[in-house]
Amino acid sequence: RGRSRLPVGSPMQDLIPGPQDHSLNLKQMLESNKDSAKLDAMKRIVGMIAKGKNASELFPAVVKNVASKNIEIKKLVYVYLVRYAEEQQDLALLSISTFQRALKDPNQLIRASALRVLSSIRVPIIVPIMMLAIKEASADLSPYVRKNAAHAIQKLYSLDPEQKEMLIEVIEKLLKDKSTLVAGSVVMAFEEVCPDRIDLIHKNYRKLCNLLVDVEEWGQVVIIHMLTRYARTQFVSPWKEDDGLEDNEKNFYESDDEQKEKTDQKKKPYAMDPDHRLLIRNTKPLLQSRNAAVVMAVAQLYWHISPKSEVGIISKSLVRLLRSNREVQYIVLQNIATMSIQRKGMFEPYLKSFYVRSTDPTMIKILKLEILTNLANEANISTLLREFQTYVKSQDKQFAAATIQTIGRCATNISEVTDTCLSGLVCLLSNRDEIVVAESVVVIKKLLQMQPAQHGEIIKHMAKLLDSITVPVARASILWLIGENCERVPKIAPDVLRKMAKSFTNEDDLVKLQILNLGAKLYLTNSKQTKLLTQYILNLGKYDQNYDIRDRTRFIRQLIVPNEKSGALSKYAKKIFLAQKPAPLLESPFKDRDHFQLGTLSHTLNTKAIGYLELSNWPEVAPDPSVRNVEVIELINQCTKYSNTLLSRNQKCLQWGRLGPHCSVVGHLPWLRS
Amino acid sequence: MSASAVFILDVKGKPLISRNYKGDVAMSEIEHFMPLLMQREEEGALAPLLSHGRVHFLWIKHSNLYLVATTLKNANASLVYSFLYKTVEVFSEYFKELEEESIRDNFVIVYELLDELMDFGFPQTTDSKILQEYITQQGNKLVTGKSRVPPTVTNAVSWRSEGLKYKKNEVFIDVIESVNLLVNANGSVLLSEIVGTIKLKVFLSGMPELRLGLNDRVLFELTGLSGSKNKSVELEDVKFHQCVRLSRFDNDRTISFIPPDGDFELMSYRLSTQVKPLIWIESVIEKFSHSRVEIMVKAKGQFKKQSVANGVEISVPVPSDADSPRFKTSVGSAKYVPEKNVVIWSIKSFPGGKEYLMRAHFGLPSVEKEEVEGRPPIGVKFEIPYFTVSGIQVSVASRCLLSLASVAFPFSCPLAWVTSASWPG
Repeated sequence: RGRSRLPVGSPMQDLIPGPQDHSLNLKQMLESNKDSAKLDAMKRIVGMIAKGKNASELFPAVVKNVASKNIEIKKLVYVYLVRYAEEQQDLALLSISTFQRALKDPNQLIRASALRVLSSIRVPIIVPIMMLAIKEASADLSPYVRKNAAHAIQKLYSLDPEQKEMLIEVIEKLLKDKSTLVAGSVVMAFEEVCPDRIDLIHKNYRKLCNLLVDVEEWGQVVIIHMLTRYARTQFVSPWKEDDGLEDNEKNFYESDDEQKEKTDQKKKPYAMDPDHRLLIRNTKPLLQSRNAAVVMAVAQLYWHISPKSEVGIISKSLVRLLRSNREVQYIVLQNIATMSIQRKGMFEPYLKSFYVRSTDPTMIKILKLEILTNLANEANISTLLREFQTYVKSQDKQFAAATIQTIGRCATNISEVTDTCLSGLVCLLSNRDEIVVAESVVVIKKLLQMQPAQHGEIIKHMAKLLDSITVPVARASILWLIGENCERVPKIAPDVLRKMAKSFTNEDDLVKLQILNLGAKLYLTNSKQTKLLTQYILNLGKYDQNYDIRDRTRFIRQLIVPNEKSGALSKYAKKIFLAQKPAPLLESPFKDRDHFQLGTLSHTLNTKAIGYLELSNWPEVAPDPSVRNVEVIELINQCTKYSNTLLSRNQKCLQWGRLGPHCSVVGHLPWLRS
Repeated sequence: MSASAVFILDVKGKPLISRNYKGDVAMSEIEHFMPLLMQREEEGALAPLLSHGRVHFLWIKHSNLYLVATTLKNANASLVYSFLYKTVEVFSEYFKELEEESIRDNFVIVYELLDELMDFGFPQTTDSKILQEYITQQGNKLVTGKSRVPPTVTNAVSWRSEGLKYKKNEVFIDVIESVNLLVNANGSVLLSEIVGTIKLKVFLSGMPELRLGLNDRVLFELTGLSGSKNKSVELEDVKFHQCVRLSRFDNDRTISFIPPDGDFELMSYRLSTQVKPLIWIESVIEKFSHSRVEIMVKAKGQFKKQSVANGVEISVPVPSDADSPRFKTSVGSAKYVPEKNVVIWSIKSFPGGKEYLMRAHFGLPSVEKEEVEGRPPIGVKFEIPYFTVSGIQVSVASRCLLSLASVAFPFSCPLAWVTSASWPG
């Protein structure tokens, strides 16, 4: 039963030329009468190309063989030509007439490959020839040749953009094609050459929707993306205003005037355009595709154009994609992260699917944390916090740190658990691992800043930590906290300053700056105890090696120590140093990504990549839907054709049904034991 | 829309082979890839998408190779990754293993394949069955049939060629199920699900249309059979091979298709049901730093007494710097596999209700390495004939074959267990 695998051929190593390979020898072989020698030579040459070696000197000898009758040789010559034609334009022209002949070959495959190679030769002189070839091929009887014509359109366009108008004509013609083979490729060409000519799609819209299931998978992706854009320009929004409640009350897509428009509209009930419905209905089965890209494409289509009540069905499919390769997971998780900010409900039932596994790579872990944070609410937060506790113990330090930040974000988002989180974080302060402690300090600092009242105990606890903790950011955070709250811990603060004055010279720059700040704040509030200490620190700072610290010292001294030179500012020193500082906002990095079409590279990068096509907002009034009507005659033709295929298919089923009695007994299998 | 060039790099980042599809990104850009990768790796911010200036690298790693697609434009990221994985799949079917050596040995074919897989940055024929029709290992073979043209690319049914003939028409079905369990430290199951695939091996003549019958609950409900005593399963999400008529499945849950020839994966499904682990593993790992590590593993069969699990393989991870292994097992044999850092304890047959024990002892070097290793899960692999965890039952047309099952079990922290089984009917 091992028949399915091809025998692995003899290694081709012996074909790969050695360093002093004689191109002379190869030339002779190419000129020999025997096909086998030619083929051998061509293989060696393609081997050289593949390895990145220069084989251009053989061009004249190779080009002669373009007319070879042997399809195998021909194929390799084509490969060679595509690689070197641009460098040897004059010589490449020699081969053109052969291609022109091949374009008329009775064999569709030869016609197609001739077109493919001809269009890949990037020689500007042959543009008119290419144009002609494309035009002819687009009317070819074989759908395969027409498919290649669609590909050639993009190639010609990139070679000479001035041909645009002519190419659009060809695209228009090919869009009308009813073959599933052509559909994907021509839409691809459309997206590259004239994505703004949405009017070309109208007449073909319904056909594309209906063909979609049968198009090959890569084509499906392209068509779905294009149709998403199309739908956003042609149909009115299916999103009712009350749907928006879940969208964290700010609807990105709806600007003010649109809202007004909507209230007007409310008087007449919204009815979805049947074409809009058609698209949504016809893409649904594709959620079951095995190709992750197709599933992702359908998911983004639902997200962008379906009524909010129907978006839910994509979550299951997306969660399923989490079982695939990690790169795919990465993209899918990013998209889920964006979606989950706007609509928590969609993914809440799958909360556990986003639990981190110890074998996940860090990037995946962090994205999962992001999603868990977005999904956290009053009901599930206690479960989540327990889960986070395990994560904090992870060996992956970066991940543990990210978890602590996540706890911080949950604490600010859900006020019920702020205190629990805070005490949890304080517990972490006695963790053995320094990175965990440092991260906790930073997060606690942010949390305390948000609700400064009665946390004296925590601050005292943190002040004690200064003796043991060495991570600069954490030390700096503690010092800042003490400085900010120096009036709440009047006994400890001066003592901390004393200790810091002792170790000042050994501290990191970041910490030194905070020591200066602390000194200044204490000087202003409690100058009796700290005047001398502060002046000592300021003197140390004055001669520090780092100019930032010297600058800061000078600045602080002028502000807080009044002398005749100091200006009016020092009067306000206290206000300046002890002003009420706004609390930092702990937000999701995915917050504003939703203005990119999901699933695109731009969304992943969070910047606009070249060639990004904006999704337009829904139009306020639907453009004329009748533009999509197709002439009746054509429709009838289509119908008869369709019913014919149905008929033949039924017959097939009938024949098949006679094969055996079991085939219709689906699911009812008494002889199966479990 | 998609990639402008595809590179295959060796582990040091040197291009082994490349194919430039669009010519809008200089081929030298790839030189920036490896330094960028190293830099990001050091920062701990490794992502499958790297950017250098305007050029974006989308990459995957397969054994010791990097497959990199470059693009300037707003490509569809998931499409590119799907394509790269598809490429790996195609190459693997051609050369059994995709690795540096197989690329070096087959430059010409790889180049031809790259040429065929993608045209101007857009994926083309990616079905290896079709590709094998016109790009073969031994080019000379084709000389005889020079006028013959592979018809499949131009067919509506692009995955099967016409005119196949077999003396004996056969279909083999394998159901392979793996169970993923998430268990917390005190042994309660947090999440359990079954991920299954149905693989077919088809040797049929002509263009047969097949129908697959499943004891799918939704289908039973549709046909009014739900009340009967048949056991049914609820498939949660299903994905199908391209050949399955999705629209029909959507309408009446029939899985009908014209199969490709030979091996292929027809569908995969997922069920989240409560699964009782069939083999329960408990382990005690004691690590005495700088001297030794002692491992005790207990396996208990939690299935019916009359059933027997065959070919049980329990792989227990050990520290990568362990040496001088010593084992003691109550049944079966244990083997140290240093390249994977695991001990594999294999038991030929494991009757239900029994409990077995293995002890292992390893020496550790006195100098310890800096980083702390995580604790990877213990894996269990076995098959129980005529048994599927999910209870799924399959029939194809008039030919019926049944296949079986698997399960596994873990011990603390998140774990993934894989078991597989295959039973030709």
